[in-house]
Amino acid sequence: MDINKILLTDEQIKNLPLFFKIIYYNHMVDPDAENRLMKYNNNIQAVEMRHYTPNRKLCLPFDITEFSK
Amino acid sequence: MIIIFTNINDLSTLEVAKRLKQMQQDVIIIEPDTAENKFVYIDEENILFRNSRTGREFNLLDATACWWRRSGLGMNNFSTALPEKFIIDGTDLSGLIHGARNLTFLEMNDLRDYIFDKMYKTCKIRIGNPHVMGMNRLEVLDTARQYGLKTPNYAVITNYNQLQMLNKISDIFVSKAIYNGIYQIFGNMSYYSYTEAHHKEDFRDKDIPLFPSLVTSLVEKSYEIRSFYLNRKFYSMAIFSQNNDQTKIDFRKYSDIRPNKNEPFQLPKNIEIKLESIYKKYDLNCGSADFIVDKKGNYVFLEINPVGQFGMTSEPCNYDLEQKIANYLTYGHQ
Repeated sequence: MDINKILLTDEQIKNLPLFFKIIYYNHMVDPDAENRLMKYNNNIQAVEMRHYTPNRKLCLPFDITEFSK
Repeated sequence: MIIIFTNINDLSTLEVAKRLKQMQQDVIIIEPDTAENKFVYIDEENILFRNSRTGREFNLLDATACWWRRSGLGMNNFSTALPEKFIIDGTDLSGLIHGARNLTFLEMNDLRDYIFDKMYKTCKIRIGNPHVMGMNRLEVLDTARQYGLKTPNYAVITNYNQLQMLNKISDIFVSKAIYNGIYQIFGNMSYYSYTEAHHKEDFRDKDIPLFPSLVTSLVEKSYEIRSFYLNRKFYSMAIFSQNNDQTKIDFRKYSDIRPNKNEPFQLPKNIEIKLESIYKKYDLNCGSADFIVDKKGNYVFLEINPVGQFGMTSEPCNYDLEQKIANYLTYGHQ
């Protein structure tokens, strides 16, 4: 996933905050991927992310219909 | 019973909660996202909540310690069953219960403030302050100057052409948000912004109106410091971000290829005293402060975040801040 950078032109930044001038963005595989890693920890009675520091590489879900596009 | 008001999946909260469980403490995490702890009622002696998963009811006023880590309470803790529409005699009054300034939200807001305030007054051991969960960046810069700390010169501008007149702002200057930068997800795209450097020359003689925008002088740094404060003790870390173009303006542009070196650091005593005066002014016993050490060795104060991340300081410096917080919540000392 490459990180992209938008540099707003003088016309585009008009009447906007100056910190909007440089905006970075990246395409996410799936915005819900993180939510699927959540699990309930009965010990502390709270939801936490499993494998936050995984000891193996985790596969991310990918919509294979994207290949046909 | 120890109460932690936080947000879902705040790693520092979870780590502290695990330590507290190891210490045989009864810890309850209250957060507004899954919102499993629901409000039941209030009377003179009770602020009663019930855990919807376990059925356990508990009185917040029985808490021996409380940590205001993050927002903690939201609408879902109070109600998840507001009707979608509120139509009376054919007139749609849904604006009373939904939308930007609906009354139910304002009711919840005042109720939450009351709960926080009552707990803050009655709880003996406290970390954080529910009335100071965020600090105004401009105000805290002014306060820091009042207490004798160096700060970067700043201005809030509304047009490109004002930059030329600002003699106290360096030719290379920095733009940053007054509140918070961009960090939003739209569809499958994630958007974010950082503190950025600009050249005044690029804005010369241009009449481009802006929304009020914060600009500050660029401080050429030798290194920068993140200092975590917990009840009269400072745990500081030097971040050597200046030698990497990717991180020299904003160290959060982390480099995996050349990660910044982070080292435990002792702030000079006079800086610690001034910084502590600021924490006391805002009635805070916890927070994270950022400094730049300039080329002349001056400590230039940037900001304080009362609810900032501290795992990034705890781990590389081996401070074990999570245990110190757990100790404080349990015993009242670190």
